[in-house]
Amino acid sequence: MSDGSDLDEAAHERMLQSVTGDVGKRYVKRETQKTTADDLLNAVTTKRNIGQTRIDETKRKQIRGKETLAAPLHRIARDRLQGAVSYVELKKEVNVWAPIVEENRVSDQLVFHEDDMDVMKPMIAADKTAAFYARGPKSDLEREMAEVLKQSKFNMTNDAELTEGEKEIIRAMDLKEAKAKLAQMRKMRALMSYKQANDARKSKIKSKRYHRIQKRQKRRQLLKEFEDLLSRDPEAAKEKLKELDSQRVFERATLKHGKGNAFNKELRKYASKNKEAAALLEDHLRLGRELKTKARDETDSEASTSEDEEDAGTKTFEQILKESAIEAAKAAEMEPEEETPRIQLAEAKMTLAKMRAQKTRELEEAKLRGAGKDLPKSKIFEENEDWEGGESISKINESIAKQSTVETKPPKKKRIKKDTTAEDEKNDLFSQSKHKDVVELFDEADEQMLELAKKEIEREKRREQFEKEDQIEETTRKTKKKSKKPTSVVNEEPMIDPKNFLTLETNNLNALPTDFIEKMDQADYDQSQAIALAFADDDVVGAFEEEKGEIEEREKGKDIDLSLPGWGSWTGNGVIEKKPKKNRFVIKAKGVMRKDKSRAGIIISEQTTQGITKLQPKTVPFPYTRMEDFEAAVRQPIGREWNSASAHQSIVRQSVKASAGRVIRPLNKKDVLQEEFVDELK
Amino acid sequence: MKVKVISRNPDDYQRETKADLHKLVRNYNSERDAFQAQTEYVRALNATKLERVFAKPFVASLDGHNDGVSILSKHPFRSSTIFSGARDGQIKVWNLPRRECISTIQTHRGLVNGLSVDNVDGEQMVTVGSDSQLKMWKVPVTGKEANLDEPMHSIPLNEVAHSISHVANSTDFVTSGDTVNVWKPWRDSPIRTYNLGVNTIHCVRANPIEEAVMVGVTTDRSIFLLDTRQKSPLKKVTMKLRPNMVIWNPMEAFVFAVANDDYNAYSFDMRNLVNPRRIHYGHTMAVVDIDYSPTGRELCTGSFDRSVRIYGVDSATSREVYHTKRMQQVLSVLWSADSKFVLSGSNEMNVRVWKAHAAEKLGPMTKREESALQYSEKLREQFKEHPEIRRIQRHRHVPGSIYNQTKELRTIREAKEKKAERRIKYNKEAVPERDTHMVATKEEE
Repeated sequence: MSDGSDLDEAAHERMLQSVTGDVGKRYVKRETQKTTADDLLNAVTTKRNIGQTRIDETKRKQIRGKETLAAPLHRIARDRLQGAVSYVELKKEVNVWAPIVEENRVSDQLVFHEDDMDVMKPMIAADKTAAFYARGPKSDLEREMAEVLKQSKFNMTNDAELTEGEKEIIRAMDLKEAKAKLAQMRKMRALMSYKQANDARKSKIKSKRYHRIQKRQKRRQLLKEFEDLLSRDPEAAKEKLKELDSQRVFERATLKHGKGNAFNKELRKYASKNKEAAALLEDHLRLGRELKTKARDETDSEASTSEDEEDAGTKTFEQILKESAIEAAKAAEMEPEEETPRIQLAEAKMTLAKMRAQKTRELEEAKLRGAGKDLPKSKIFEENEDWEGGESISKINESIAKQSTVETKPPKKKRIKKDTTAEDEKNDLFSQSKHKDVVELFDEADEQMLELAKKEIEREKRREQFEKEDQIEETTRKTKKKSKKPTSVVNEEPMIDPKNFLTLETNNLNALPTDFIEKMDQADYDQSQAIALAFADDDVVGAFEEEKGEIEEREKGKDIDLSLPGWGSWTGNGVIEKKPKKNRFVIKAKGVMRKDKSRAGIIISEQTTQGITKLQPKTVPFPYTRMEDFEAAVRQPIGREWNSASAHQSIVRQSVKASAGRVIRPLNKKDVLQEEFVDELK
Repeated sequence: MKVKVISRNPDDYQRETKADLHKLVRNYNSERDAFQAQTEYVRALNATKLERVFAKPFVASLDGHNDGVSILSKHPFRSSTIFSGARDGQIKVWNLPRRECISTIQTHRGLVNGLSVDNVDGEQMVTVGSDSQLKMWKVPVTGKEANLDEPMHSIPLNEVAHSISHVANSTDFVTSGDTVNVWKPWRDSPIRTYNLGVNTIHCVRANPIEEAVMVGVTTDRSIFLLDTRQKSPLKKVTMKLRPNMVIWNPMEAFVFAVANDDYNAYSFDMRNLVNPRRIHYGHTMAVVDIDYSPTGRELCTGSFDRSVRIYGVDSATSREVYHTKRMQQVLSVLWSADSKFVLSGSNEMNVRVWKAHAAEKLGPMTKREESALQYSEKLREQFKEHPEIRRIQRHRHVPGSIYNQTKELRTIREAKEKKAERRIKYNKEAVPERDTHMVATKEEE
């Protein structure tokens, strides 16, 4: 304040000066502007334009003001006016609620009493420790422990985020570091709590099966790690080995998976009858064996021997490599370089790489062999033999086989060639078979037509047609001969390609002599006559009409007769039976105009099944404007079978959630608008 | 002989402990279920049927009054406390969950016209009666307190007060009769008086959110708005028939609803009083009382046609209609403060308690049950427009009088609508049927 006082004073003085200066000026100004009545009167020197001068606006107002005041409004009119004004104001005022109201109307879910959820908060670690301290130590041990714990600087409390110790550490660091550390610490704490929760959950699982599986997994993991470490860090591998060994020792001591234990004895009783029991027993024994064997016996022994001479570490690794190299070499029936007592690391690697390359090559070769690709005898031909068995094909096969045996070309080329040959061959086969079949079919058709033609010819001039007949027969024979030649080669083949069938037909027709075709046309025309003749007795059209009538009758709506026989009429001797009145109790069926009524030769069924349409909405319901939107909304699955659990929950949640027995208060202006205001500020 | 038995390993389907987590096996890349829609439709259909099967809305009847129950009121802070007033001037305070009367107070000689509890601590209860008295009472909690029968304060009025309502978050209250008066407790004269003309104001209600705003209805068929900060009423609109009761929406500061003599209820937006926001059809006689659900999403009405109806705030037709053989003209309705129950006081001296959702299960539910019910509710909503489901959902048995009258009214309304439609077609100044319920004022013309 003392620093600021100087400045303040200066400012104050300046301000005073300015103010007083202004006042002075204004005062001066006012003096100059002061006018007298004479000035005003003498201001106008000329009388020119005097009629046109307009009275100044301000003066006009002054004049009006001097008039008598208007009478005050009537009370009712005044009230109405006031009301109207304040109504507009009020509308503006209540409009602050508009966004809130709108939001509530639109929202999927209104939740009242949200604070109820606090009850469900889980207990966190800090709560637990606090609860423990609140309870206070009870036994001596607890008391002692509490004392020890109290001395610790790392006791967590609910109030503070950091413990004393952590604070000290942070104080010792600079800000950036501290922040990073803090973040890391938070993360670690969170991870720890997750882990803790997970462990707690797992520890509660009693399932034997679960634990069995768990144990097995652990063991497998251990072995895997060991294998892994063997190549990377032999020292650590040793440790792992010890661990594995402890398992082995334990197994050897307990013989838990051996033959002799009670469970397995029991199991053996059932093993002969029950397959599952046998499998289980087998499993047990195998596990026992596995457990009992030393992990990596050889290497271990090697390592142990080498340990005596030289220090372990790189040596063991070398030896492992050497061992593997030798083994690999043996497997590949190669001469290992056993003469050299110590193989260098690089050399070993080289050999290993070679081995691998060799092996992969072998594998590839094997694969190829398996696929039958580089062998001289190709399987395709064998297949063909099964498939066909014809002479020509076998010949072709042989020739191709010769080719393939003679030519030693790279497999790719060969394959292409083979493919092409095979295709050619197939085509050949197809053409043959089709040819044969088509010809047969064609022949049949021919023969039918010919018969017709013959009859015709016989009926007419026989003599004249003799020659032609001969000709026709000759041509047919020729075609038969032509066609039968290949069929003798190919015995029977049911495969037909419809496309080829059609093309072949046309070709053959073209091949026929023109006079024959003419005859055929003639025959075609007469065929319809023949059909009519054949069905002379059957009235096809009539039958159809009859059928249509039947369907019509069947589909016509039926009158419903509600009359009860004998009801409303006397019976007995001497009763004259009245003529029945116009039946009042019959509900007449609605007459429907049939669609096929004026269309001959067609039946359109009127019995359309309503099916699902009965169950479907007929119009698009209100909020939707297009059918597609409505359909999309309805088609959206909401069940838990088609949604994830969380999605399902969020879909099906209630639109209004309120707990019974708890008062729902009207909106509170203070709370709601305050919140809104704060949100806006944000 | 070999006997085959079905054996199941419990490990496959049972948990060891409750805490065990089942791994829910789920194929995230599954093919679309071709029968999903069908399955859900059938489920929705079944859910709808079951909803109707379980719809047993009647909960209890609170009897003990000796005259028609014309007033029902709730305590602003205690959901279990309900007040009912009969035409003989008797008031009963009920404990709703226990369904018993806590105390009975003879408040007025003659009718008791109104009852209201203050909105600050809920300890003062003010009643007005046809004996021109305004009396302030202590609100009974257990019913065993001393001097419950004696009013804490009593004021003789110059007029018969017809209704009373407490101002939001305050102990002030407003009464209506020939004039509208705003009172402070313990004072013998009103702090403000509004004269609205010669007609009796038979109902006034203070806005539960905006303290200064009131709405009232008068016998000249008009609805008026008041602002207690102003000297004169703000706005007055007239309906074709008399509005009987008016109530504010507790969640929407500018929306109120009116029960009308023309068999309809109307929702109004205070900002636009030219026409109602919504018309709620359905009753077949004059609607006498109306109340909003505390959630502000629904409203219930009681009518002289001996039924109670429940409407969504935006729906023209009722979601539910409640009636029993012995329930006579309904004089008063009330929605309980926890939004779960609807109460109706009727001419045959009974107060009836109904569930707000007829098929709702009361009491605690397991998580699975709850989620299953939620699912079925959602299904019903999703397929509600499908004819079969809609038919089942909307089907209600109603007394013959209501059934026949409804049909008749529907015909009349349809005819009117048709006529209006045709008028609009040929005359651009014509208005639709929904805009014909108000009397146009000169200002608007």
